[in-house]
Amino acid sequence: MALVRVISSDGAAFLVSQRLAKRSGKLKTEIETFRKSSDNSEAQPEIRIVTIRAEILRLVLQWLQQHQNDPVLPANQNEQDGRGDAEMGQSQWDRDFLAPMDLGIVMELILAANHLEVKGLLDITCKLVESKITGRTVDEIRTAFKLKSDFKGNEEEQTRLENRWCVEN
Amino acid sequence: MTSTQEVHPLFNPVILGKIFSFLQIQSLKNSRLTCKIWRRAALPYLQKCSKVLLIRGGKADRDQFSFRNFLEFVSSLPPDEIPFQHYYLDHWALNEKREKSLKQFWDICGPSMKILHLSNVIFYEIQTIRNILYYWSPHLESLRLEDCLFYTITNENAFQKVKDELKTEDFDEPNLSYDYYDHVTVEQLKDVKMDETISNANTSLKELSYDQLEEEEFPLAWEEIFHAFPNIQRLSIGLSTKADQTSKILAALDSVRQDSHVMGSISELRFFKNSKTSCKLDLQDSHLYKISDIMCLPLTSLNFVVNQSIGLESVANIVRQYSPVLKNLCLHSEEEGQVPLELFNVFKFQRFPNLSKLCVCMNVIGGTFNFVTIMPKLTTLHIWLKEEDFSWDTKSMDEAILRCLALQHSNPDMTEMSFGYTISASKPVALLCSWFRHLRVLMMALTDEIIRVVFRELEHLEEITVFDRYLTDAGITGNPVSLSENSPWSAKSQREFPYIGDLKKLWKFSLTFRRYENITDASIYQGFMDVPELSSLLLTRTKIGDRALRDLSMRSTLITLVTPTVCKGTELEYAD
Repeated sequence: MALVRVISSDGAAFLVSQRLAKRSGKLKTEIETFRKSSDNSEAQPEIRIVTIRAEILRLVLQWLQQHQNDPVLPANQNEQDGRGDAEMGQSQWDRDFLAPMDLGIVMELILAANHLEVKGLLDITCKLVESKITGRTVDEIRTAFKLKSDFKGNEEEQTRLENRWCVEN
Repeated sequence: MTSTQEVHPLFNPVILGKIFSFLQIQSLKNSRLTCKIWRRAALPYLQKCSKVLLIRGGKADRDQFSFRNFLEFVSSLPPDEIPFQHYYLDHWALNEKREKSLKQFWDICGPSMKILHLSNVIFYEIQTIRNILYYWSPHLESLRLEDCLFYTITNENAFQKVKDELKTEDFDEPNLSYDYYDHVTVEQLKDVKMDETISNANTSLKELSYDQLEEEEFPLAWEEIFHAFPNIQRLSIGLSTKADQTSKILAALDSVRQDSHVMGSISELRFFKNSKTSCKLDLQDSHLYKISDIMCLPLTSLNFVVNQSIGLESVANIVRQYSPVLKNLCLHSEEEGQVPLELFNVFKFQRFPNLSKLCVCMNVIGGTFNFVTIMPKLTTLHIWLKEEDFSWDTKSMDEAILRCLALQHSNPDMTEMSFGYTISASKPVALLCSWFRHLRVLMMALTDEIIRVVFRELEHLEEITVFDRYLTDAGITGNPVSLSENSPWSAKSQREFPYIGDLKKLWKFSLTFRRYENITDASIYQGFMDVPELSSLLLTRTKIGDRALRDLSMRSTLITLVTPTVCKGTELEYAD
């Protein structure tokens, strides 16, 4: 089995099958680039991910392993109507996977899924964030995500007025 | 930790876009109010699901849809920061000579305008029509003209008071402007000579819709329109439009196609029924023959409602002509009572090799489901009385399906089926299931008996929408009688029938339109709790208690639960 070493920003190395790694768009490109530039076709690629720490990389690989037999979704699927397809990809395993995570970890996981181009993981993590916005007031959203209002002067009121003119299609 | 160079995901535009794509209008509005980055990032998604509605005249002009208030607001914004793209203008008088604020409105909003719906609007003078249609919103992508009137003013005999006001050129006082229009003599604009210089005025326009409910005609030459908008892909004509108007449009289309290289792109032709009117539909056989005659129209989508003056031959002729390339066919009758068209019965050897979506009423399919064999790539089948409006019909489809009892058919591509008619027995449903085993989306009236067939046969189902009111706990839980939370039952005991937990891929379940008096907590505890991938449950009024709903929603943060009493999502409209 062909393997690849994936190294996190804090130096932890993960040895995974190339088949599994290639389910990440980013890792697939890196492996192919390595193949083209290497004289030795048997050499084991080594990929450094300088933006993802070990704990998060482990979670991504764990998710990839669980979903290794899923069809690979094209990156732009469903973007035409602006709606994602996370709901269709959820499973009980996904729910159990995400359940213990605090928001900080979820955020890092979103970044990692985006960076490594793992669409399914990006979808379900973004959907989790969506569920924390829906049905909440502005203050509740700010509190949940620790967002600080940076509106100056009448900018907030201006936004409220813009919103006021938008009625549902 | 992640590198400090990396933008926090809550401020990363790609990730924010992904999150906002899941949100509905109110949540998008709230998100825009949290901070500046979210304000900007949520805007395109808010624009997609909303419009600016401006109504003029009477009370409307003083309240939330006031043109004057809107103009005052947008005038205060920087010109390149107009946040609106979609406008619905209702009951406007478009008279640029007298109403200076119109030009001001279009100067501000026109450059960013993408969708414009003009409803019950009166245009005054040719130049205003051309300015508004062609020039003042150069990036418009979709234009709908609905029941508009087109006049020229022949005499301004307004009474003295109004005349005095005219001098100030302030015609935007709501009552004043309408008083003014009560005192002018107008003449309908007709058959305006084509302006040969107008070509490619707007190459962004992809969608044009014209719908005329009154006798008045559209005054510009349709050839001019087609030259001005050379890239229209979707042409929609209201069915109440007078027959001679429709003839003019089709003749112009024909002429333009013969005359030049423009208009190569109309792939979708739609004759639609305006829900605001009960006017007689005026589509005629001659129109359908005319469409057949238009040279090489690259149609892949046909959509129309037939009335009593349309014969089977003309419908069959156009459908037959485009059958090799059609991807979408939508065909309904004006009234269900009229003589059945039974269109597909005439196509003994005709095939629709590329058709993926078929939306028809029972009158069109006639008395048999044999048509499924001539459409091997069908992925979506909707059999409804009307195209869009939900209108329930108790007519049964049982017989039409059972006539095909011996049919050996299989279509693994069929993913979505929706029926606005009843199927009263399980046998026809079992037959449908045997043809379309890979169905993912199902919308129909489901009784306990029928839903058990669905649970047993359609293991790939992901979404179910239930119409009507006959479904009960017994159907959802697979148990013979309605149970309560405290009924003596355990997962280890054998169920008598298949139940909702058998659908391993189901993620969305919806009840619609009616009360479901016999759906109780038992459906939650002994049904929905066992659906492994359930992430969206939309209910109308049932006997399910809040506690059971909360218990279900506690199962996972990923469940969107919408009911009349508990809302973890957006409140669902429901009817008693």
